[in-house]
Amino acid sequence: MAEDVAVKVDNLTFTYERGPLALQDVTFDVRKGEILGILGSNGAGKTTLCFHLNGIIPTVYAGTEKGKVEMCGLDPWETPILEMSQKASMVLQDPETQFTTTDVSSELAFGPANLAIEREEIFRRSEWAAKVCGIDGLEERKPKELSGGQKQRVALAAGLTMLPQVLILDEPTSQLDPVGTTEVFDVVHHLADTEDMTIIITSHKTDEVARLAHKILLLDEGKVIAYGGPKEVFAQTELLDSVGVNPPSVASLAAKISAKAPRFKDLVDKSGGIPLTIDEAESLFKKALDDGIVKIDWKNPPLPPRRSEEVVLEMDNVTFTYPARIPVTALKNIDLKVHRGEYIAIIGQNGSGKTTLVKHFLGLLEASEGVVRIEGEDASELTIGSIAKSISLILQNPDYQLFSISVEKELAFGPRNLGLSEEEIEQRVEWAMKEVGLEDVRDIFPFRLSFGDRRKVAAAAGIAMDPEILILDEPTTAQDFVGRHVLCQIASRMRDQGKTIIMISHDMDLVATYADRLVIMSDARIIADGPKREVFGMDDVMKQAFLKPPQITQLGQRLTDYGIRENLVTVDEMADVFKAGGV
Amino acid sequence: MAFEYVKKDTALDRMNPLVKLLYMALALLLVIQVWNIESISLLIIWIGIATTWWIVGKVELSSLGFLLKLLTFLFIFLFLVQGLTYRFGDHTVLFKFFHFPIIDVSNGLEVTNYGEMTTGGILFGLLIALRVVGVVTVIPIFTMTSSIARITAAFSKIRVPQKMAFMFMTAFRFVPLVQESMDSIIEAQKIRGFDLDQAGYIDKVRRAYVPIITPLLLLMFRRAMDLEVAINARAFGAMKERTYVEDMSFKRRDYIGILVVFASFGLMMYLLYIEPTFITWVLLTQAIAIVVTGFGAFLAVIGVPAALQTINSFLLTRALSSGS
Repeated sequence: MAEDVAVKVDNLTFTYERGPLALQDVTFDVRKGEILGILGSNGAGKTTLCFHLNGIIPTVYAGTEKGKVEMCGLDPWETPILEMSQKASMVLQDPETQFTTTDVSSELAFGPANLAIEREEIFRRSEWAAKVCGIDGLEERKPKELSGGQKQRVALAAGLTMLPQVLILDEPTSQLDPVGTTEVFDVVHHLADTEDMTIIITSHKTDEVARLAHKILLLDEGKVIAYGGPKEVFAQTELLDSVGVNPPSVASLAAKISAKAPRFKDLVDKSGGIPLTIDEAESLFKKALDDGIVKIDWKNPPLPPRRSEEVVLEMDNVTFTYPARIPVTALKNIDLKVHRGEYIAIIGQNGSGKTTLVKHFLGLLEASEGVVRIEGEDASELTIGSIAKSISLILQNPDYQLFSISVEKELAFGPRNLGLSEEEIEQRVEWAMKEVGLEDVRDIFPFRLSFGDRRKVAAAAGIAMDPEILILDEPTTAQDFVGRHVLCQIASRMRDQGKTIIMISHDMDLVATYADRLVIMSDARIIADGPKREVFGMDDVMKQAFLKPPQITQLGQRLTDYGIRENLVTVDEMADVFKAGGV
Repeated sequence: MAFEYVKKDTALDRMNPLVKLLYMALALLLVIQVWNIESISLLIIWIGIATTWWIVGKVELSSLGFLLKLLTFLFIFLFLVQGLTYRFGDHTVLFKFFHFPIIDVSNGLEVTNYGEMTTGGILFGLLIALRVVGVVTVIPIFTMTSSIARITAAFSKIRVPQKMAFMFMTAFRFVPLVQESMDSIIEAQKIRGFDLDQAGYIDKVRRAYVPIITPLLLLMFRRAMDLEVAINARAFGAMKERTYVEDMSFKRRDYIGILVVFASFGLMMYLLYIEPTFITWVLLTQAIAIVVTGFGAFLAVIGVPAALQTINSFLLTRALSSGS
């Protein structure tokens, strides 16, 4: 048996030098050819654990370790990184920084060249790796000429050229759009199937991990909370919720209905555990409905709140072209009206024009053709300062804006630019800190906070401006399940106060839960615009934009014959229409 | 960005970067030796040779963009300052801008007047400008036709330590990243009502740079830490001798390149020290005269002066007739 074990971690406890306790009594092992998914909220210790496996700890980061790690029979604390790096390869989160050279082919050669492997062999390996990862033909490209998904696949391929036995992927898709995510997961699937690679993957995209992993390790604050097969772990939905990890929606749904209908629970247990994919859920529910274990008691989902007729933002036939050697048209004939008090989500792939569109509302770009109106006034006649008074944006990356010595000072920066009185500024800062929950860290240098907290600071800085219109740019980037909901809930509360919210996101579950109206962009145009239930039903349009409705909506669409009359979008809505069947 | 490598698949592209590096070194060596106004013609020939390299390597002038603009300012500055202050050459006064005489206290005579622009001064300005150009025109022959991977490989060949070569490569990799981040940061601060365009120049320098430079530095610091993880995970620096994938052996075209570089440098040295009278003023003025006459002749051939004359006389008669 011992021959079969690729990774063995025994009672690992680790504390960073001058830092917090990061891991506590972690024990698990991964057999050769197995895929382990590590789940947990931000700061749960996932990355630290990954760093242990390929020798980054202790080579780059120091700390005190207790317990034992065995990686293909080697101890990372005793083995030089030269050897470790040939056992395990790692793909990091940020596609940008792990690109160490200036073009794809030298990137692929970088690792083996460091090992002083002969040229011919390097070429052979590069060719093979490029093919496996589907990036053959891109060898001459520079990083800026690659999409996010391509960059991550280059990182994968660059790891593969080291001929590792274990592949470690640390949130490889958290900064990618759905297409990029699919590209990366396809490669991972392929590697698992054909190359028989041992893979350790951390991710917030639980439905993808559920599909892939043989085993799941659930971490919280450095401790192992659950460890076992996916069905086993995902069945504990309450435990998952308590540590900020969301199980695949169909699993949550099954768990919720099981709580209501004991006979349904028996069926779930009998049919091999909780469903993780839509196909599994479909057959389970169809069986349950056919056998009368549950029945559907149709209730119309709540109507979206009535919107006011007042238009706050308007685009009238707007076209925008980025001036460059080869000009790029990023918006084509856009017509859009945003009413006061609406919660709009703009969805679409990277490069479809979402960000360009909102930049027009912020006064950062000026329409090449057409008119943009902000509260009835032509945007081209407004100054940045006056726009900032009414519109605010919460950025994807908080590090682009944080610079002050303390959180408090950071929040005061925006209002001060608006020329408010000191009293008013103080009031707003207090209010914003309370709204976001940052009172405890008010004197701390933002750079020292975790990414999730930095994101909160940026959000607070946005709402301290007390804008009429709040724009959220991709609240999911590098955020765990809890973090993204916190941002959206802040936005929801502001909407209840009569503010207008625009959200850009790839996360369909998030969009489905919070937004009322969806705008789909594809290839610089708006291809659909309407209430969310309607838009999720437009199969052609969704396909054209490479989007998929939420799992729940897809499941509902497959159960229309059983009485699901409209598109349902959240787990709660769906659970509500199911009743325990009578005998 | 200026100086960025673009793959063009020319003979220069395939040439060993070391040859081009040698060319650059010799260009520097040349200009530090050229100090006489009489050697202007020599520099012009040197630049002419560099231009030929440009044509062979298909290097585009427009790709220098920003640098050319910067140089233009430098040149205007040089002409003005040298024209007004250099007093060792031809004292013929071309313009007089203002009156600023320097008077010898012992005899009360005017030594010189710094308000006057002299021919010698302008020529000296031209000399310095050409010395700069003489080096600058050679740089893109190196940077724009050699990929970073090949340059680093070349560095290793001349025994530059692995880590230094990697630093060089990272710098190139990070320049566009810094630019991008900087743009994003400026946008982010604008959204928070921080309006740089409205602020005055002094104000900009005084308070504007904190909100922009601080996040930039912090961001780059973070990126650098990530990069450290990435390169360590791929065993960077694990072996004393790493492999370079690029073929760095000298081929026939490299020997030809070396030959050409040394030949042109040798020619310059010959003209500078052994046969300084061979190409001098006279020859240069002659060359200019030939060009000008040639141009005139060309115009005459296509009939421009004749046409002008006709138009002139036509206008004259019109004026006369309308006058009477």
